[in-house]
Amino acid sequence: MGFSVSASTAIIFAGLFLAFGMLYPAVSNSYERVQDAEFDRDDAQLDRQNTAIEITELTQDKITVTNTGSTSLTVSTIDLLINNTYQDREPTLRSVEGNSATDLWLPGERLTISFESEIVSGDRVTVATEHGLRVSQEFL
Amino acid sequence: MAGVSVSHLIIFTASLVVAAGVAGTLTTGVDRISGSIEDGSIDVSQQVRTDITVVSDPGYTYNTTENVTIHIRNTGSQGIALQASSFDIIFNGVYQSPIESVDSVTEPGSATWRPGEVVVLDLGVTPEDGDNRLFVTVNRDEEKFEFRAS
Repeated sequence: MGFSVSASTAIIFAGLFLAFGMLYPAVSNSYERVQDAEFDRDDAQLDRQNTAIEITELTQDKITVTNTGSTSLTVSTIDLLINNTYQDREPTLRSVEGNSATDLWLPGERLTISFESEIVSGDRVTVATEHGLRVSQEFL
Repeated sequence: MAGVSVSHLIIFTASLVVAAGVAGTLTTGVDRISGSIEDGSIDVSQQVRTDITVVSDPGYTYNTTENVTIHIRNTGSQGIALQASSFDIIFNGVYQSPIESVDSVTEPGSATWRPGEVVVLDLGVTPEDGDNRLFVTVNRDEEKFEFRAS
Protein backbone atom coordinates (compact mmCIF):
# COMPACT_ATOMS: atom_id res chain seq x y z
CA MET A 1 0.00 0.00 0.00
CA GLY A 2 2.67 2.51 0.97
CA PHE A 3 4.94 2.24 -2.02
CA SER A 4 2.14 1.88 -4.60
CA VAL A 5 0.78 5.32 -3.67
CA SER A 6 4.15 6.92 -4.32
CA ALA A 7 4.69 4.97 -7.51
CA SER A 8 1.29 5.77 -9.02
CA THR A 9 1.58 9.42 -8.01
CA ALA A 10 4.95 9.52 -9.73
CA ILE A 11 3.49 7.99 -12.89
CA ILE A 12 0.63 10.44 -12.95
CA PHE A 13 2.95 13.41 -12.42
CA ALA A 14 5.17 12.16 -15.21
CA GLY A 15 2.09 12.00 -17.44
CA LEU A 16 1.16 15.57 -16.47
CA PHE A 17 4.64 16.85 -17.31
CA LEU A 18 4.48 15.11 -20.67
CA ALA A 19 1.08 16.58 -21.41
CA PHE A 20 2.20 20.09 -20.47
CA GLY A 21 5.28 19.65 -22.63
CA MET A 22 3.05 18.88 -25.62
CA LEU A 23 0.48 21.57 -24.93
CA TYR A 24 2.73 24.55 -24.27
CA PRO A 25 4.59 24.64 -27.62
CA ALA A 26 1.35 24.12 -29.52
CA VAL A 27 -0.37 27.01 -27.74
CA SER A 28 2.61 29.35 -27.98
CA ASN A 29 3.21 28.58 -31.68
CA SER A 30 -0.45 29.07 -32.45
CA TYR A 31 -0.56 32.38 -30.62
CA GLU A 32 2.58 33.60 -32.39
CA ARG A 33 1.21 32.58 -35.79
CA VAL A 34 -2.01 34.51 -35.30
CA GLN A 35 -0.13 37.47 -33.84
CA ASP A 36 2.20 37.61 -36.85
CA ALA A 37 -0.77 37.60 -39.17
CA GLU A 38 -2.37 40.41 -37.16
CA PHE A 39 0.87 42.47 -37.24
CA ASP A 40 1.03 42.15 -41.02
CA ARG A 41 -2.59 43.13 -41.36
CA ASP A 42 -2.20 46.12 -39.03
CA ASP A 43 0.88 47.30 -40.94
CA ALA A 44 -1.05 47.13 -44.18
CA GLN A 45 -3.93 49.06 -42.60
CA LEU A 46 -1.56 51.76 -41.40
CA ASP A 47 -0.06 52.04 -44.87
CA ARG A 48 -3.52 52.30 -46.35
CA GLN A 49 -4.44 55.12 -43.95
CA ASN A 50 -1.32 57.00 -45.02
CA THR A 51 -1.96 56.54 -48.72
CA ALA A 52 -3.79 59.16 -50.77
CA ILE A 53 -3.75 59.94 -54.48
CA GLU A 54 -5.44 62.64 -56.51
CA ILE A 55 -6.02 63.01 -60.24
CA THR A 56 -4.53 66.34 -61.26
CA GLU A 57 -4.94 66.14 -65.02
CA LEU A 58 -6.80 63.97 -67.49
CA THR A 59 -6.28 64.46 -71.20
CA GLN A 60 -7.07 62.40 -74.28
CA ASP A 61 -3.77 60.55 -74.21
CA LYS A 62 -2.62 60.55 -70.60
CA ILE A 63 -3.55 60.88 -66.96
CA THR A 64 -1.50 62.59 -64.25
CA VAL A 65 -1.98 61.53 -60.64
CA THR A 66 -0.29 63.09 -57.60
CA ASN A 67 0.73 61.12 -54.52
CA THR A 68 -0.83 63.26 -51.80
CA GLY A 69 -0.24 60.76 -49.01
CA SER A 70 2.80 60.07 -46.87
CA THR A 71 3.77 56.61 -48.15
CA SER A 72 5.80 55.72 -51.20
CA LEU A 73 3.97 53.72 -53.83
CA THR A 74 5.22 51.30 -56.46
CA VAL A 75 4.70 52.32 -60.07
CA SER A 76 4.62 48.77 -61.40
CA THR A 77 1.70 47.73 -59.19
CA ILE A 78 -0.65 50.58 -60.08
CA ASP A 79 -3.83 49.47 -61.85
CA LEU A 80 -5.43 51.43 -64.65
CA LEU A 81 -8.92 50.84 -65.93
CA ILE A 82 -10.59 52.68 -68.79
CA ASN A 83 -14.35 52.23 -68.92
CA ASN A 84 -13.93 49.40 -66.43
CA THR A 85 -11.65 47.55 -68.83
CA TYR A 86 -8.35 46.60 -67.28
CA GLN A 87 -5.31 48.04 -69.05
CA ASP A 88 -2.10 46.01 -68.96
CA ARG A 89 0.61 47.24 -66.64
CA GLU A 90 2.97 48.61 -69.24
CA PRO A 91 6.06 50.13 -67.58
CA THR A 92 7.09 52.06 -70.70
CA LEU A 93 3.87 54.07 -70.57
CA ARG A 94 4.41 55.15 -66.98
CA SER A 95 6.74 57.85 -65.72
CA VAL A 96 7.21 59.69 -62.44
CA GLU A 97 8.08 63.38 -62.94
CA GLY A 98 9.38 62.49 -66.40
CA ASN A 99 11.48 59.54 -65.23
CA SER A 100 10.21 56.23 -66.65
CA ALA A 101 13.02 54.13 -65.19
CA THR A 102 12.06 54.58 -61.56
CA ASP A 103 9.65 52.28 -59.76
CA LEU A 104 9.18 54.59 -56.79
CA TRP A 105 6.35 57.08 -56.59
CA LEU A 106 7.24 59.22 -53.62
CA PRO A 107 4.93 61.60 -51.71
CA GLY A 108 4.37 64.80 -53.64
CA GLU A 109 5.46 63.37 -56.99
CA ARG A 110 3.28 63.12 -60.06
CA LEU A 111 2.80 59.91 -62.00
CA THR A 112 1.88 60.11 -65.66
CA ILE A 113 0.31 57.11 -67.36
CA SER A 114 -0.08 57.35 -71.13
CA PHE A 115 -2.98 55.56 -72.75
CA GLU A 116 -2.40 53.02 -75.49
CA SER A 117 -5.19 54.61 -77.51
CA GLU A 118 -6.84 57.97 -77.10
CA ILE A 119 -9.97 58.23 -75.00
CA VAL A 120 -13.10 60.08 -76.00
CA SER A 121 -15.49 62.27 -74.11
CA GLY A 122 -17.62 60.29 -71.66
CA ASP A 123 -14.93 57.68 -70.94
CA ARG A 124 -14.20 56.98 -67.29
CA VAL A 125 -10.62 56.41 -66.11
CA THR A 126 -9.84 54.66 -62.82
CA VAL A 127 -6.47 54.41 -61.08
CA ALA A 128 -6.00 52.00 -58.16
CA THR A 129 -2.98 51.67 -55.87
CA GLU A 130 -1.50 48.73 -54.01
CA HIS A 131 -3.81 49.01 -51.01
CA GLY A 132 -6.87 49.09 -53.17
CA LEU A 133 -7.23 52.87 -52.94
CA ARG A 134 -9.06 53.94 -56.06
CA VAL A 135 -9.79 57.25 -57.81
CA SER A 136 -11.93 57.72 -60.88
CA GLN A 137 -12.65 60.56 -63.23
CA GLU A 138 -14.77 61.00 -66.30
CA PHE A 139 -13.19 62.60 -69.32
CA LEU A 140 -15.35 65.54 -70.38
CA MET B 1 3.59 -14.28 5.26
CA ALA B 2 3.98 -15.47 1.64
CA GLY B 3 0.22 -15.13 0.92
CA VAL B 4 0.17 -11.56 2.27
CA SER B 5 3.05 -10.46 0.08
CA VAL B 6 1.51 -11.98 -3.08
CA SER B 7 -1.74 -10.11 -2.58
CA HIS B 8 0.23 -6.98 -1.84
CA LEU B 9 2.09 -7.48 -5.09
CA ILE B 10 -1.14 -7.92 -7.04
CA ILE B 11 -2.68 -4.77 -5.61
CA PHE B 12 0.54 -2.87 -6.15
CA THR B 13 0.60 -3.92 -9.79
CA ALA B 14 -3.06 -3.03 -10.23
CA SER B 15 -2.55 0.46 -8.85
CA LEU B 16 0.41 1.01 -11.15
CA VAL B 17 -1.66 -0.14 -14.12
CA VAL B 18 -4.45 2.25 -13.18
CA ALA B 19 -2.00 5.12 -12.82
CA ALA B 20 -0.42 4.33 -16.18
CA GLY B 21 -3.88 4.19 -17.76
CA VAL B 22 -4.76 7.60 -16.35
CA ALA B 23 -1.47 9.09 -17.52
CA GLY B 24 -1.91 7.56 -20.98
CA THR B 25 -5.46 8.89 -21.38
CA LEU B 26 -4.32 12.31 -20.22
CA THR B 27 -1.48 12.54 -22.73
CA THR B 28 -3.62 11.22 -25.59
CA GLY B 29 -6.32 13.79 -24.87
CA VAL B 30 -3.82 16.64 -24.62
CA ASP B 31 -2.16 15.50 -27.84
CA ARG B 32 -5.48 15.73 -29.67
CA ILE B 33 -6.23 19.14 -28.18
CA SER B 34 -2.82 20.56 -29.10
CA GLY B 35 -3.20 19.23 -32.64
CA SER B 36 -6.54 20.95 -33.07
CA ILE B 37 -5.21 24.19 -31.49
CA GLU B 38 -2.47 24.25 -34.12
CA ASP B 39 -4.91 23.54 -36.95
CA GLY B 40 -7.28 26.20 -35.68
CA SER B 41 -4.51 28.77 -35.47
CA ILE B 42 -3.49 28.05 -39.07
CA ASP B 43 -7.08 28.70 -40.17
CA VAL B 44 -7.35 31.90 -38.14
CA SER B 45 -4.02 33.28 -39.35
CA GLN B 46 -5.04 32.59 -42.96
CA GLN B 47 -8.29 34.42 -42.44
CA VAL B 48 -6.51 37.36 -40.84
CA ARG B 49 -4.02 37.54 -43.70
CA THR B 50 -6.67 37.45 -46.40
CA ASP B 51 -7.70 40.84 -47.73
CA ILE B 52 -9.20 41.61 -51.12
CA THR B 53 -10.28 44.89 -52.65
CA VAL B 54 -12.48 45.60 -55.62
CA VAL B 55 -10.75 47.86 -58.16
CA SER B 56 -13.61 48.09 -60.63
CA ASP B 57 -15.09 51.55 -61.10
CA PRO B 58 -18.47 51.81 -59.36
CA GLY B 59 -19.27 55.03 -61.24
CA TYR B 60 -19.26 53.23 -64.56
CA THR B 61 -22.72 52.35 -65.84
CA TYR B 62 -22.76 48.68 -66.73
CA ASN B 63 -24.47 47.33 -69.80
CA THR B 64 -27.51 45.12 -69.22
CA THR B 65 -26.68 43.03 -72.28
CA GLU B 66 -23.18 42.00 -71.15
CA ASN B 67 -22.13 39.62 -68.38
CA VAL B 68 -21.05 41.26 -65.15
CA THR B 69 -17.27 41.32 -64.81
CA ILE B 70 -15.46 42.64 -61.78
CA HIS B 71 -11.75 43.21 -61.12
CA ILE B 72 -10.46 42.32 -57.67
CA ARG B 73 -7.02 42.89 -56.22
CA ASN B 74 -5.33 40.77 -53.55
CA THR B 75 -4.33 43.34 -50.92
CA GLY B 76 -3.58 40.77 -48.22
CA SER B 77 -0.31 39.10 -47.29
CA GLN B 78 -0.82 35.61 -48.68
CA GLY B 79 -1.66 33.97 -51.97
CA ILE B 80 -5.10 32.56 -52.68
CA ALA B 81 -5.83 29.55 -54.87
CA LEU B 82 -7.20 30.88 -58.13
CA GLN B 83 -10.28 28.78 -58.74
CA ALA B 84 -13.99 29.41 -58.82
CA SER B 85 -14.54 27.60 -55.52
CA SER B 86 -12.42 30.16 -53.63
CA PHE B 87 -15.07 32.82 -54.21
CA ASP B 88 -18.52 33.06 -52.71
CA ILE B 89 -20.57 35.49 -54.75
CA ILE B 90 -23.99 36.85 -53.91
CA PHE B 91 -25.38 39.03 -56.67
CA ASN B 92 -28.60 40.91 -56.00
CA GLY B 93 -29.43 38.46 -53.24
CA VAL B 94 -28.84 35.32 -55.30
CA TYR B 95 -25.92 32.99 -54.68
CA GLN B 96 -24.00 32.55 -57.92
CA SER B 97 -22.86 29.03 -58.62
CA PRO B 98 -21.08 28.16 -60.80
CA ILE B 99 -19.22 31.30 -61.76
CA GLU B 100 -18.47 31.63 -65.45
CA SER B 101 -14.74 32.18 -65.11
CA VAL B 102 -12.02 33.65 -62.96
CA ASP B 103 -8.62 34.52 -64.37
CA SER B 104 -5.65 36.65 -63.48
CA VAL B 105 -5.15 39.74 -65.63
CA THR B 106 -1.68 40.53 -64.35
CA GLU B 107 -0.38 37.00 -64.78
CA PRO B 108 -2.68 35.11 -67.18
CA GLY B 109 -2.80 31.38 -66.65
CA SER B 110 -1.49 31.52 -63.09
CA ALA B 111 -2.98 29.12 -60.54
CA THR B 112 -2.21 31.32 -57.56
CA TRP B 113 -3.54 34.77 -56.85
CA ARG B 114 -0.54 36.45 -55.28
CA PRO B 115 -0.54 39.67 -53.24
CA GLY B 116 -0.70 42.63 -55.62
CA GLU B 117 -2.21 40.65 -58.48
CA VAL B 118 -5.55 41.49 -60.03
CA VAL B 119 -8.08 38.92 -61.19
CA VAL B 120 -11.18 39.33 -63.30
CA LEU B 121 -14.33 37.51 -62.28
CA ASP B 122 -17.00 36.83 -64.89
CA LEU B 123 -20.30 36.01 -63.22
CA GLY B 124 -22.02 34.61 -66.27
CA VAL B 125 -25.16 36.67 -65.61
CA THR B 126 -26.21 40.07 -66.87
CA PRO B 127 -26.99 42.90 -64.48
CA GLU B 128 -30.49 44.13 -63.79
CA ASP B 129 -31.65 47.49 -65.00
CA GLY B 130 -31.00 50.10 -62.32
CA ASP B 131 -29.24 49.37 -59.01
CA ASN B 132 -27.21 46.22 -58.52
CA ARG B 133 -25.34 44.92 -55.52
CA LEU B 134 -22.59 42.34 -55.43
CA PHE B 135 -20.97 40.67 -52.41
CA VAL B 136 -17.68 38.84 -52.93
CA THR B 137 -16.37 36.71 -50.06
CA VAL B 138 -12.95 35.07 -50.01
CA ASN B 139 -11.84 33.29 -46.83
CA ARG B 140 -14.33 35.24 -44.76
CA ASP B 141 -13.25 38.63 -46.14
CA GLU B 142 -16.37 40.18 -47.64
CA GLU B 143 -16.36 43.07 -50.11
CA LYS B 144 -19.40 44.92 -51.38
CA PHE B 145 -19.69 46.43 -54.84
CA GLU B 146 -22.72 48.48 -55.87
CA PHE B 147 -23.31 49.87 -59.33
CA ARG B 148 -25.95 50.90 -61.81
CA ALA B 149 -26.73 49.30 -65.12
CA SER B 150 -28.83 50.38 -68.05
